[in-house]
Amino acid sequence: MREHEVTPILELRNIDKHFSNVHALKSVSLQIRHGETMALIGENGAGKSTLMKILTGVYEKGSGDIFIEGKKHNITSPSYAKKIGISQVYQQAELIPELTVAENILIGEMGFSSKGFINWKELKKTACKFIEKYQLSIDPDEKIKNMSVANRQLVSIVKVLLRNPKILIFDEPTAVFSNLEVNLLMNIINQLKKDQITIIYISHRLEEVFRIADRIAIMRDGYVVSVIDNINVKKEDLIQQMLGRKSSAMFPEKETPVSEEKILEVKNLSSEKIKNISFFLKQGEILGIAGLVGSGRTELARAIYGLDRIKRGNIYINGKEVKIKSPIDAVKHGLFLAPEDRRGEGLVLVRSIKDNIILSNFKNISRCGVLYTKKENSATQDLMNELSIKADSIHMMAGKLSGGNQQKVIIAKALLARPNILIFDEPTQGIDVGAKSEIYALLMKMKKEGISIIFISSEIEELQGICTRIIVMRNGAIMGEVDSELENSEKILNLMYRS
Amino acid sequence: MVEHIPSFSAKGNKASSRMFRSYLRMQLVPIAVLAFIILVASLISPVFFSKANMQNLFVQVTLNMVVSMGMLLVILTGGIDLSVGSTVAISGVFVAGFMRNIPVGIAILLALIISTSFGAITGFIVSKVKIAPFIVTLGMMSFARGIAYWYTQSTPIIWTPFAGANFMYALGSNTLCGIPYLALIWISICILTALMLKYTVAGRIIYAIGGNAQAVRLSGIDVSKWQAVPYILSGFLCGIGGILLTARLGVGAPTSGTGLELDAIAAVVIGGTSFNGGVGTVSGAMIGVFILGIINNILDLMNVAAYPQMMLKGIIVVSAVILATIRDRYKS
Repeated sequence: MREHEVTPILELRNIDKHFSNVHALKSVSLQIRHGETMALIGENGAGKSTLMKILTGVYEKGSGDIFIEGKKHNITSPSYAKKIGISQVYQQAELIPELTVAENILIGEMGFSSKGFINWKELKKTACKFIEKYQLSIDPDEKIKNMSVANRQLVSIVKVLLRNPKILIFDEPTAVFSNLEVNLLMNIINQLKKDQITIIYISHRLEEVFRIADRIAIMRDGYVVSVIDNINVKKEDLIQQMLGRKSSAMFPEKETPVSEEKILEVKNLSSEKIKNISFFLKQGEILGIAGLVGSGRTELARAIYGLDRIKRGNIYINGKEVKIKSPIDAVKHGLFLAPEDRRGEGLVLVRSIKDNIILSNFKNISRCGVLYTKKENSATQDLMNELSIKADSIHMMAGKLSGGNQQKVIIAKALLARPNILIFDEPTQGIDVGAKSEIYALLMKMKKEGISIIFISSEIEELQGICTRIIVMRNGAIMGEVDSELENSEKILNLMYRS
Repeated sequence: MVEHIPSFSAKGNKASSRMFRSYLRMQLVPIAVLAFIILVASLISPVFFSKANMQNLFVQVTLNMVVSMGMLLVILTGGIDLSVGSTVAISGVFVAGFMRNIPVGIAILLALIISTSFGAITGFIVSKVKIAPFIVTLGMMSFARGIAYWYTQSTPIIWTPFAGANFMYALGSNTLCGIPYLALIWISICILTALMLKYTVAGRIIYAIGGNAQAVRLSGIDVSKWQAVPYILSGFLCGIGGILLTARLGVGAPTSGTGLELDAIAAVVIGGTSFNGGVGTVSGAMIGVFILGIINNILDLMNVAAYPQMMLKGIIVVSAVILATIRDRYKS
């Protein structure tokens, strides 16, 4: 240990955070030196984003201390975090599409207006200065709505830089970037490093981490498991540390044999977002689809379910070709989709649990369009008991349920539809561990009842836990399939991240 | 009033009393406003509670009540129907005009078919062509009103000399055990609407579409088909409204129903229906119609001119919605 170590610009001491019954951060301690770029990596749910949200004042920490330049701070709100120089680059959320780049960059900043009038000249000059400094190919007079997603991201970075932050946080900035745009961002970050700005960089793309990080902190299950210097680090080592030892107790036994019959087959399917996808699903199988956000997994589900227009390719169900042009056709052919966006696409939040569940199938509970109240109530009550949905009654508003229970309502809805093929898109996203393992058990039960399942997830561990085969997607295409060595996480990760 | 009727039986069913309480809580603002207005009305005018005035009130609310049921269905799906007033006029002038040449029964049927088709056209453009309902119904409002003027050449059609006048007269003026026929008709329509919303697949889907159309779509339901239904029903109910109005007034006037869209929207919104769709009740809309109706009634009794009436109506609408919004914010 060096004797006169400089005070770190940011020090976290024993930060702890609970969400109801989830222990999200477990005594996290981390020191970040002035002017360094610290990469933060780990699987989804490891606690990276939670930690950053505590830093930026979105969440309040449970316990522990935060020191900025040696001074203890209690960050209680996002505005407080801004004031002490901690800024995060968000994904284009705060840009106004109808305004120009210059206007967007400087909106909300003081010093460009006098007596309520805007000094346009000054405003544009300042915006140009920033754009030139970071060599961006952006026209300050361009409207945001006409720009690519990546360029918008660059604009939001410039906007944040204007506040002269001491610590700049990037959370998955390149998720929507092409290679060229990644290079642009890397140049900006190098420039920032020259300006001695401290950066925390969260990314799933390890190549980027290797390119820009000074040190790498690895998180797992709410712990910071190690912090290493970015010298001669091997990708395999990082991945191993990210995953750690497996905990398989959460997952039910995979016992039921799978028949060899192909219930669903997709050949050369292409849409706007996916390219030439071919795969099959066997009767009574749980097929996993792994991939990062934006890899095309959701879009594949949408194309099969008739939500996105199919450009080329064919879909076969039980060996027969089918044309699926809308979810109506999909449901007719025995498919059902539990979407990724629970609240936006899965549930009618203002209606009751019952109203949500019965939407998927009115056949057995109505005649000539008139509902049998008793049958309707008992059918939903049965499902609620079976899935142990925790609610006052079947009349409770779906929007008032917790995330896990909302997911169960969607599963109940799916079960009532009696599909042959069920597509689950990220069913365990954002729900606590207990509810997760319940949902795994439900998936297994459905499988036993003969339902064939496509299970989309970004968590490799859960795919390994319940699937018999895993397809890995990247950039809208299938990168490979894993069936014999399911435990081989490195292989899956290598397919997921570009190698 | 209908869908949440509490059981007042001696058994005192626990579940129903709980539902009654939750209903009261939900409709607290409109019920309180209604009670307040009734109280004020009875204090201001001694004749307010007289049988004649009550009959009058129940007749006066007829048009808005019938039209508001259609408006409720449309707003529940997250839409809006500005063409209701014009569709009422269409139906009113056509039924009076047709009576000149054909039996009254067929005249009524034809008027209903015409107004329902107007609703169907609106519904088709909104759901299949996917144009904002505000725009489509705004266009329809002007188009239908134009037809009403064209057909009548701007002169109200007096139906009394024609065949079927007796039936129309009875419809507009007779009573059964002291209850006007018109009131019986709107009460039936409200009950049917409430039953539809509570006990049919259509009702569940209408609520769900307003709450989250995408979730309904992913459930394999033909959303665009169901989105058209409320507009068709609204057209049909406007047709009934127009016929009842013509029966009551003795003429089919091309100007009838002017400004009715505002009254109907106001009644529905005062009754606690969310403009975003998905939330709202028949009973709420009925309370809304009565609030507006009693205000008109009492101001008529006091011989207040029409303009202050309009001003007061505007104030009441906005206040009721402000109260409901405050309550919702307080709850969450």
